[in-house]
Amino acid sequence: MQNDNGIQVLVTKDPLDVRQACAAVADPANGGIDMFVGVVRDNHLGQSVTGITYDVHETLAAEELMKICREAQGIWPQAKYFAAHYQGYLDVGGISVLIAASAPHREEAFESCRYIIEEIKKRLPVWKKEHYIDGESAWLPGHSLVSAEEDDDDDDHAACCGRCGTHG
Amino acid sequence: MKTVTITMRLYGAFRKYQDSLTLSVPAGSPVAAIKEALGKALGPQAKDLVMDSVIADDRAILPPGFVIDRDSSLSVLPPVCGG
Repeated sequence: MQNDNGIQVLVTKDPLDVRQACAAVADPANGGIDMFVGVVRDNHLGQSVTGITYDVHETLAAEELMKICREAQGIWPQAKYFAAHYQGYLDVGGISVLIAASAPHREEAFESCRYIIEEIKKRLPVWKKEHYIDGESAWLPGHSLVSAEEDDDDDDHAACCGRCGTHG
Repeated sequence: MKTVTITMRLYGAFRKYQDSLTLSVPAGSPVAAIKEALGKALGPQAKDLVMDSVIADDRAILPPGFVIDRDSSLSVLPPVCGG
């Protein structure tokens, strides 16, 4: 767990805990908490999915989670943030990503939480291997970081393109 | 010519080749050259994936011109799909 001035981030092989996320951002000055809970679904592109293995560059992922949350804090400075990603295998229904943002009002809570999940999908060094009911498995395509190697001045914060397969 | 040893960790779709490999490159090679050496080591079937990937150390993604002048532990990051 990394902590930094209203931000907590976590990359873990332990089950993600919704209550922990909620408690991490609780603040008497903040009247709303928005959460995003990403879970493994049982289907993808017509195939029956039994689970997903999450391959993670642990140190870089923790750094990037913190960076994303700091960016959010720059936009919504009164909010508090918790962002965690799971590492390893999960059955269908398992929680893969967990975000909580508390803010004085609902608008900042919704917007900041949305910002964090969209950036996670585009930037976090995580790779998904889907496992299917017929015993086969496949790595999912994703978002290339090639533009990030030149500079971090990505041109927008548009929503995830949808190629990576788990748009909860 | 002095060479340096790069221990490269592989992630995601690269794991079908192996989990890590070692490259020897001339000292002072830029990251772009290391990426090229990685592509040669993995073979033509990995060419597109290597081109879509970046090289990182444990702190950040390294730009193509970043020079490696000592033995290093790096990672190759294919396109990501967190969440």
